[in-house]
Amino acid sequence: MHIGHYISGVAHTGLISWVLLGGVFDSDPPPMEVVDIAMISSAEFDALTQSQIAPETSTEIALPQPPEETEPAPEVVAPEDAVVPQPEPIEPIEAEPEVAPDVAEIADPTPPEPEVAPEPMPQLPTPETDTAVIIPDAPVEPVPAPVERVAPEPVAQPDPDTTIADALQEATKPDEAGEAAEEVREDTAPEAASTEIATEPKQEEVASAAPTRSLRPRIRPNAVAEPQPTPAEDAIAAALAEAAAPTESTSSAPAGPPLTRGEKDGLRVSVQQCWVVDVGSRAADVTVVVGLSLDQNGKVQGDIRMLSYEGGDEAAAKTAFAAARRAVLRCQKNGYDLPAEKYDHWRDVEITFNPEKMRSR
Amino acid sequence: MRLFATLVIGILTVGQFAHPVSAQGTPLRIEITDGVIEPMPYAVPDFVAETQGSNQVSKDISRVIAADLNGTGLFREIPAKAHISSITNFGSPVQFADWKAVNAQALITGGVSVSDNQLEVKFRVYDVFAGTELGNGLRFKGTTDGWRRMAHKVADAVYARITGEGGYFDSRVVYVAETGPKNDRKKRLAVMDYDGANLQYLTDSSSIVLAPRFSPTGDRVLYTSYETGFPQVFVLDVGSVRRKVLSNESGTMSFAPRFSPDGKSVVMSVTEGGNTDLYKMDIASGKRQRLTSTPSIETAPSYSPDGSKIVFESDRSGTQQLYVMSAGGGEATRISFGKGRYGTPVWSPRGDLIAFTKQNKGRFHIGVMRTDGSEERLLTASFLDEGPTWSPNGRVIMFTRETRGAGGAASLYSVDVSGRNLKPVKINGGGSDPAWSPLQ
Repeated sequence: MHIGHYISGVAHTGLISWVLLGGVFDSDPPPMEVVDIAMISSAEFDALTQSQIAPETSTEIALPQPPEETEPAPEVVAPEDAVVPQPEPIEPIEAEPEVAPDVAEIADPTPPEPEVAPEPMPQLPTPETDTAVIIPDAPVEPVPAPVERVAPEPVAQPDPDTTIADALQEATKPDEAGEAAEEVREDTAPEAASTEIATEPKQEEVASAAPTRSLRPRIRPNAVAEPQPTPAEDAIAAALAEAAAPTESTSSAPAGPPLTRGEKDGLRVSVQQCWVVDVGSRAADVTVVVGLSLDQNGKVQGDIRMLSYEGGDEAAAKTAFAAARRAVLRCQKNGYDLPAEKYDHWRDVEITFNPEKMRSR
Repeated sequence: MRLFATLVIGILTVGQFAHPVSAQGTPLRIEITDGVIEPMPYAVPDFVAETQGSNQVSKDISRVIAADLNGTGLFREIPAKAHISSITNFGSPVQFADWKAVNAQALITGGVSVSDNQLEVKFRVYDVFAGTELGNGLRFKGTTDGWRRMAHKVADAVYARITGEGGYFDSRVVYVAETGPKNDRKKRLAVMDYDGANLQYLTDSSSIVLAPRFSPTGDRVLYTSYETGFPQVFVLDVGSVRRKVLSNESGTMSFAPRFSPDGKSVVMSVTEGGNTDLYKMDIASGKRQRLTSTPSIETAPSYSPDGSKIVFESDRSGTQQLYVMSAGGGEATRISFGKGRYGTPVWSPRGDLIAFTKQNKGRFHIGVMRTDGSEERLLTASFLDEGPTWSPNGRVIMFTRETRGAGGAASLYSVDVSGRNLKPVKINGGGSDPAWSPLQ
């Protein structure tokens, strides 16, 4: 019992110490990559950019000769509009906002919603313009590097102990007689042909097409440093992730048996009886996919979203989506009739409205 | 020990709470391919009269808007007696639940004020079931005698917001008004609002007139007249009702004219030496350019909306068929291959369809096909249907229908491009050869 208390005390003390003082034992921060940027004078800069300055162009352009006068074209209509009384042109607000006092003058009848102050957007640094890069004067075409080839005839490989050298020589052998004094030499031989074909040149030998020089880069914008989690937060986050991980892996699949074909058909029939298709419109060429969420009573909760469309332009897609949304909302009544025990399977629904068959009616 | 246990329990508890948030299973996916084709129910309560003396005009405007929308066949008005909510103040919030209860999918509210001779109309459109407004409120100003046109403007805006396509209510139709028995029929040009209102005659009945066509700006009309004894093309200014002959070549007959999309030239048929070909005439200079040169009869030309092509009818193959060629002339491609004879082709303002008259087995039809001749669909069938013209938005076709027998009369009909909503156009007496104006 006492031993357990001791162990517990030591473990707690260690844990608390690690949480509070863990940073002390951290190693030095990782090394930072440093890039040297050479400072150049304006004269050098001009010299670098000289090739990019467009040549001067002449601004003197010969004016076209005025056309010769011809007889005036016969008039088609001339008299004034006196016989037919026409209504005064009305002023569409959207088309002529300066004439008609506009939509804004029509007060919104809907009660004002409580204004939610939008969160201030983080001020991102203004991106600098792209830094120009001086292209090398002549494109560097990669030159195939010499590769080792298999010799047309087999060459006897030198002894593994033989040193590779330009000249062939034999190693000195001990004079059995011991009389002649001779300089000690090792076995050498020229390099033999390779035993396999190298199909690609060595990487370091490829001629680079990258520019060898560039304009001086602009000053880097002030980056917003991401807050580094403290060791204590790290520990808690790791613990939370560990606790959540096994649960997440098992919960991605909804529980219970899936919906039967009949149950799916029931939902489909419920919606389609409210789907009104205008077969003469361009919207009838659009297949639209909408996404929605249902509450446990089978009623739509939240917004119905257009996930995708195909077969028409954006205006036609909007009309097709509006018809699909009306169909879902109109026919829900008190909620779509779906099995409550399978709620996980129909909480989120994607419905494809495909009018192709309708067009042939 | 307690601290450690608390920490562990806390971590596990947080983990449990995190479960519903992270559990996003695969959504249920279904596909719907069958819907219903029916008019959309909507409500348009009488616009609120905001000034003294605007009661009647506010009601009239509401009725014209309803008539425009109902006439499309795409909308069905919910009668006022079925409303359980009323609009007494244009600025008041809308009680969507009340309009849902009567199954109104769209709601149109408006206000009208009159000051001296000035009329002001404002309106809003709501998607009732989504509980949102479609677009922003809009206001029109004008004179009181232009109230019908303002109502048409409002209806056009409502139509565009709900369907996503332009309307056609603020437009006019020129046609040949016919009176008298078949063997002594008097014909004269007349122009009216698309719904038959504001009828005005442009010519007298002293000579036969045919095939009027509006200019792209709607201020001029081309037509064929026999006032010189043989057919000649005239151009008439709608405002002043003044006219002049456009083609005055001696010994020639010209007919079936139609403006180019830029309004600067006219394409027409000219019969010269017993042969009929298509010509293009520059209106300003009067210069003619021959577009076809065959021994057959080429007539009824119609430009594509971009002005790059012309569709026309020709009997060069032995029977009357439709052909498409470049606007500058040249080789023509036959596009009609069905049984029967095809004529009077008209290119849709949308550019995607060509309307035509078809005669087969003693019956006449109005039909549409793709510009390459595919997907031919016949929209009508009767003893005599002919001369289609497109609404400015390419959604409706108006044409002439003539009844059988000695007492038969010509009248105007319209039909939706889907083949639905076939109905007569209200005109005073008989009429034929309608031509729709662009949107004003």
